[in-house]
Amino acid sequence: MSLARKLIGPQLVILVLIAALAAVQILVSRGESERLGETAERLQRTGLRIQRVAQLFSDTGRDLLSALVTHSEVLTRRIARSNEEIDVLLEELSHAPTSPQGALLVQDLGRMRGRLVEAQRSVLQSGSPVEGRSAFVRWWFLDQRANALLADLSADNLRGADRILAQVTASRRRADLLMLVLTVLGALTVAGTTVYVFRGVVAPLVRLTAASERLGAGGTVERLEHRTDELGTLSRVLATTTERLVDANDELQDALALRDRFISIAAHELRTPLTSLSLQVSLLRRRLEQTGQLVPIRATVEALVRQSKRLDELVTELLDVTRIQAGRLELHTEPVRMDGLVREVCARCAPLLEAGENRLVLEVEEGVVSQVDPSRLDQVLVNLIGNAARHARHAPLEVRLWTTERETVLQVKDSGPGIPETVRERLFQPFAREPGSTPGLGLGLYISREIVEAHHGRIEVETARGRGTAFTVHLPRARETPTAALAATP
Amino acid sequence: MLTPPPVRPGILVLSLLLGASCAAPLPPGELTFRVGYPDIPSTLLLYVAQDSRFFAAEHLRVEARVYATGREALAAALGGEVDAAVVYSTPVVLAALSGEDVVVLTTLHRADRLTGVAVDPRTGIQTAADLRGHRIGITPGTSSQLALDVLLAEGGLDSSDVQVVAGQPRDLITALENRQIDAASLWVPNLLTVTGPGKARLLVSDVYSEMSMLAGLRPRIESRRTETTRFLRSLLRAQALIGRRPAVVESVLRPRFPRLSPDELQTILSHSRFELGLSNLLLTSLRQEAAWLEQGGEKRDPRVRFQSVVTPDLLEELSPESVTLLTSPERALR
Repeated sequence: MSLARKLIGPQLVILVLIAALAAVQILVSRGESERLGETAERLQRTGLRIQRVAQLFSDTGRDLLSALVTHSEVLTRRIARSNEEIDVLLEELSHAPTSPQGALLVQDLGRMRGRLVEAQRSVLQSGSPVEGRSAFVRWWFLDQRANALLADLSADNLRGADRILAQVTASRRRADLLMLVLTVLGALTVAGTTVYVFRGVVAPLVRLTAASERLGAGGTVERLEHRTDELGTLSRVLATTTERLVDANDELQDALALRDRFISIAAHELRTPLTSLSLQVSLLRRRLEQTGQLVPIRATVEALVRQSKRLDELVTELLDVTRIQAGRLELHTEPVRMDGLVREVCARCAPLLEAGENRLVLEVEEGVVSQVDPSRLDQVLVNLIGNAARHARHAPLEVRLWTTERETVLQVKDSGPGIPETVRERLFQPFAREPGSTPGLGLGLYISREIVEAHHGRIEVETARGRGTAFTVHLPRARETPTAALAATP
Repeated sequence: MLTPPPVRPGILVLSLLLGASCAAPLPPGELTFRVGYPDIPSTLLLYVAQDSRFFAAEHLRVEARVYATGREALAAALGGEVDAAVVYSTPVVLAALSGEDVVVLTTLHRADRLTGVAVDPRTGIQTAADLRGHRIGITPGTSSQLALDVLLAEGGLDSSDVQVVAGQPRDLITALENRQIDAASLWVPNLLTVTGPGKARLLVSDVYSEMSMLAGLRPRIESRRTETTRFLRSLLRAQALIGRRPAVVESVLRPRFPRLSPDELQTILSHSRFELGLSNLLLTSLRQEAAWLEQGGEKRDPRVRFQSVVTPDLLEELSPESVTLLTSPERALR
C-alpha cells in the first residue's frame, strides 16, 4: 500500500463514520419529531372533541330542564340532535385513543351515555310527577357521573402532554447518548488511525532519521524489506548508498594511511642521504672557494646549496607531519624571553624580507617571558613571516608581541591581498595549498597550529579581501619565570 | 446461709407474656403496615400482592386483618388499630360527613350491578316500586344502604315507604331464608350466592356503581408515608401482573371463595375492573353519596371538603397516569 493511501485512508474512515452517525442521528430525530408531531395533533383533536362533548352535555342538561317545564317539541328535537352529535364524537374518540386509560374511559363514557339517553327519555316521557321525579333523579345521577368521566378523559388527554414531554426528554437523552457514542467512536477512530499512521509512517521515518544521524558514526540504515511503499524503497536506497559510502570511506582511509606511511618512510629514507648531500655541497663550495674555482660556477653552486636546503626543509616538514599524526610531537619547554626570540627570528628573516621588498614594522613588548619550546616557536614564527613575505610582496609587514593578564600574544600581519574564501576553511589542514600559489607542500600552517596547540595555545587568522591577513598566536603565560634560566636573551 | 429468693409465679407469667407479645425482630430495612379489609372479591389486588410476595419485595411486612365489612375495617383504621382499610365509598362518605379526617389514597376496584337487593320470590316483588311497605334488610353505614336508597328512588319511593331492618350480611341472609324479611340489600359474594334460579330474585340499579378504595386517617397515613408508599407500589405491581396475566385473578380468588361457582365468579369479574386510580368519577360519586345521605337525614360537618378527602399525592408520585382527578387549574394544565 502506498504512503498516500496509508495517510488518506484513515481520514476517509473517520469521515465516513461521522457522516454515517450524523445521518442516523438526523433520521432518528426526524422520525421522532414526526411521531411527536402526530401525537400532539391527536391530543389536540381529542381535546377539541372532549370540549365539544362537554358543551353538548351542558346544552342537553339545560334543554332537558327547560323541556320539563315547557314540554317543547323543539327542545326535544334539539336534545335528540345533540345526542346524535355526542354519539358521533364518542365514536370518533373511541377510534383515536391517546392512551390505554383513555380508551377505557371512552368505553365507560359510552356505556354511561347509553344509560343517560335512556334516563333523558324517561324524564321526557314521564306521565306523573312521581315518575318524573324518579326519572330525573336517575338522569341527575348519571349526568353528573358522565361529566365526571368526561373530566377524567380530559385529564388523561392532558396527561398526553406529559407523555410528549417525557418522549422529548427521552429523545434528547437518546440524542445525547448518540452524540456521546459518536464522540467516543470518533476519538477511538482518531486514536486508532493515529497509532496506525504512527506505526506505518512516522515510526519508520524516525528510524530512518536516527539511522541517517548515525551514519556519521559509522552506523547503517535498516532495510525495511517487508514494506512495499515509498518508505521501503527509500530505506533500501539509503542502505545501499550508505554501504557504498562506507566502502568508499574505507578505501579512502586506506589510501590516506598508505600515503602517510609512504611519507613517513620517504622522509626518513631521504633524511640521511639529504644530510650527506648538504654537507657534500657545502664542502664542495668551500673547496671551490679556497681554490679560486668558484667564480665561474658560483651561480650553479649557490643554486645547489639553496635547493639542498629547500629539500632539507621539506623533509623536515614531512617528518614533523608524521610525528604529529603519530602523536609523537615532543616539546622541550623552558622559560624563554619572547622579545629576544622575536627579534632574532626577524633578523634571520631579513634577507627574505629584503627580497620581497617588505618593510618590517616590529613592535615588541620588552621582558616578555613564556614557557615554550624555543626551537618550535622559532619554527612557527619563521613560517608565519615567510608566508607573509611570500604572499604580500612590496607591502609592509608587522610583527608584534604583547601580553595580557593570561596570555602572550604574537601577531604577524601583512597588507597583502588576503586569503580567498575557498581556502580559509582548510587553511590549517595538511597539504592545503592555494591553486597557483608559491611552491611548497602546504604543511607550514598545519604544523604551526599543532605546535601552538601543543603549547595549550591557539592560533587565529583574520583576513579580508585586499586588506591583508593577520595571524595571531595566543600562548598561556608562564606562572613563574626565573630570569637566570632564560634560554634566549637579546 | 443465704437462700435465693423464691420465684414468684406472677412475675414468671408476666415475663412469659411479655416475651410472647414481642414480635419477631424485623430484618434491617423492613417495615410493617397493618391493613384491615373485608374478605370479598373486590380485595383482589391485595390478595395478588400478598400471594406474589410483592410486599416482601418492598421489604414490607403487611399485617392483614379481616373485618366483616369495610365499614368496620375503616372504623379500625380511624381508631388506630390498622394503618389503612379497604372499604367501599359509603362508609368513607359517612366518616367524612361526621367530621373524621379520613383520606382516600386510591380506588382498588369499580363494579356495576354487584350491589343490589335480593328479594324473596314468594313476595311477588318484581320492580323497585313493588318494594313499598315491605321489610327490607340493610347493613347500615355500608353500600347496601345506599344501593337500596338509589333503587327506591328509581321506583319513586324513599326509605320511609319501606320497613328497614338493620343487620350484618350473614344475619340478613338467614332472616331472608326464614322469611323474617322480604328483601335484603347485599353485595357480592353474598348477593350472588342467594340469588339465581330457584333462589331470591335480584333487583339492582344500573345507576349505582360501587367502588372499593384504600382509606385511612390522615395523620396516621402522613406519619407512615414510607410504608404507605411501599404498600401502594406493591398494589401497582399486582395491577400490572393482572394486566399481563389475567388468569392470575381466577387462581387467586377461587381458593379464597370456594362457595362461588365458576359462573358466579365470572359474573363478578365481567362486571368489575381492578385498578388503582383517583378520578373525577370517584370525587363525583363521593359527593353524590354525601348529597344522597344528607337528603336521608345524615348530618354534615361544615368543615367537610371532599376535594381534600381524595389525596392524590402518593399515587401520583408512583403512577401519574393513574390520577385523572382535576384538583386545580395548575394540575389540569400539567
